[in-house]
Amino acid sequence: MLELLAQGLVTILTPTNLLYICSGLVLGIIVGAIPGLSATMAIALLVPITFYINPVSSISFLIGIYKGGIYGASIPAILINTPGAAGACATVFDGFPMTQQGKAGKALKAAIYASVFGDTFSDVVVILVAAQLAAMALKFGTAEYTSLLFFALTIIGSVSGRSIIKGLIAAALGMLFSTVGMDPLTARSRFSFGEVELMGGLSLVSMFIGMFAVPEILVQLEKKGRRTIASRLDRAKDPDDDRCTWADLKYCAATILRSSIIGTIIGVIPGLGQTIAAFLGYSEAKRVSKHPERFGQGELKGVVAAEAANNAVDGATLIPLLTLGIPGDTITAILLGAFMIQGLVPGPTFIQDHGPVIYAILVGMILANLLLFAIAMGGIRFFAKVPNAPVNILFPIVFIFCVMGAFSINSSLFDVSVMLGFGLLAYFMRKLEFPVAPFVIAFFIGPMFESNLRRTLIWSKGSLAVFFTRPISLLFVVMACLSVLWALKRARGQG
Amino acid sequence: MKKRHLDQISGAALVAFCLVVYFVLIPAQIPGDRLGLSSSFFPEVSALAVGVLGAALFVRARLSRKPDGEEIIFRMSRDEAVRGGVVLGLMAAYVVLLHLIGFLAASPLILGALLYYSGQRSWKVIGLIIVLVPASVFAFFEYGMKIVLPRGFMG
Repeated sequence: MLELLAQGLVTILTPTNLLYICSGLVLGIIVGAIPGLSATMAIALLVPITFYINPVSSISFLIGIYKGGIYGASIPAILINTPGAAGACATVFDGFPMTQQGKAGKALKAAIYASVFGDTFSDVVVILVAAQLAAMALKFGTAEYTSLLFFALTIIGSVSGRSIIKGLIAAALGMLFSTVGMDPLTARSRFSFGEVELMGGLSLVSMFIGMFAVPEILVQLEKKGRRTIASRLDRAKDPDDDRCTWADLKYCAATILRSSIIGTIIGVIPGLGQTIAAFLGYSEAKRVSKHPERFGQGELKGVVAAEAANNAVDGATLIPLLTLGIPGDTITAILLGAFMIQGLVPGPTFIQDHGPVIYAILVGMILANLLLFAIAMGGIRFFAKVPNAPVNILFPIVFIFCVMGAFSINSSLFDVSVMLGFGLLAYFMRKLEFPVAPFVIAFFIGPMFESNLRRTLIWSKGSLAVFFTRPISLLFVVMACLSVLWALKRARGQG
Repeated sequence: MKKRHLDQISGAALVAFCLVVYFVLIPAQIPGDRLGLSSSFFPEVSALAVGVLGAALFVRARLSRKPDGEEIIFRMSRDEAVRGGVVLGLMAAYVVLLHLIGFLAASPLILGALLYYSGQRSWKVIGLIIVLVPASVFAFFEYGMKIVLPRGFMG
């Protein structure tokens, strides 16, 4: 592994790659800091462009946006009481009170330290465990893989959104839409309606852009009125309130470490994501604190707990993606698409087949954290003004980019229509409170699930007993049932 | 509208969708036998899952009656619905215009309309954006990425 890491370091340390990572980070912080725009939307929009870049540079660029976006969301959360993304909701609790007390500089800088530490911690975990997990997954047969995918689908469906039924409906719809095109086993055409464009299936890029960018544009443009609080970072009267001192870091060290561990564990489990990690990190910090009454009043530990936890999810979500080919959340689903565009198909043999490329990307992730620290610290006053960007000008421009992004992959206006169709579907899903993540992830997992399920059933002559007689398969089936039961219990508890 | 009524409508619509997919679309669009593990097996399973879960959503919404004061209300103002519809219409019109008159002519029209509709009233800002954005996108895709953008009837 050390040899591959050294090789990865050599591959990633080129001026071009560093430029791509830095551009990704800056872009990510900017889109993350503008409420309404998100890293998911930016990545979905930019995937078509990466088609023309080499795999290491393109994936590093997208991961840069991911990392920058998750950190960037904390800026409006701290400065204007509006999280840039759902993952930064818990940052608001203490971040904004700190701004009201004139300590915005301290809160923002502490958020940078916590974000970078949390992210680096989970990236190191990815490097240490990914190869081992992938080696274990190599022993899986089609039955085990089917049960694993079934488990992933049920957990994603059960935990995304407020309603288990709606999450599972979204997952079932995603699977149904994934069957458009050629049958993976017999190459027979399905739901093509005589259209040549549909024979190859629905375009992934059109689906991403449609599901993530179009509904956001519609939602933003149907609103009237503007935000009244202006985002700015004034100099504090006491210089210490503008700094995150060594004493502050020492005071928060245990909280940052605890939240990083929580975020990493949450990140590995498909479907949970940044928001749950941030809330868990925050509530755990409050629970163990000697002064829980300070939380919500501008407690520095509250800011770092939420930020370390939500950033620690970034690296960890790549574990199921790289080792099993299962995207844990919407961003990793898009990254999976980006890998596939580059001809790299994540799964148990992924690290074995493309070791140098994967390790270059993994080393790039750690490098991106160091660069994130430098860029965020250096540009703190500029990024503090980003949330003021005029949304009514931005979204119409973003729409033009959406259309061109969908068009550019196949130079097809049909793909643009597909994008609008998915956009409309996602808009209604959002209005009716159906979560989008299970749909997108099921759309990806669908073909893999179908071919493994059918192969297993052909091999077992149609008997479902095969899923219950093989220990690993049985384990995943039991875990799938437990995840649904747990979600049902949780839903009942919430009334 | 009460949220549970909306859920009932969604559940019923999903059951109807399942029936259409199962009895109309699958037989028409997936040729061959429908026995065993044929090409239609997985679409059928997925459609049935949508139908069963849709029915579950309908039943749950129907049984979850609460006293009037505690009902969750779904609110969408008429103004919001109209604005959403107009933006959606402009988006669809853009796709049609790209077919007919191409990128360079369609983009300023739709971009200008969207900017105006989203509250931008400065003609200088609108003018600058509708010229600069399509021109830079055109230059980026045509010269940078060598992708030919739609030309419309102008060919």
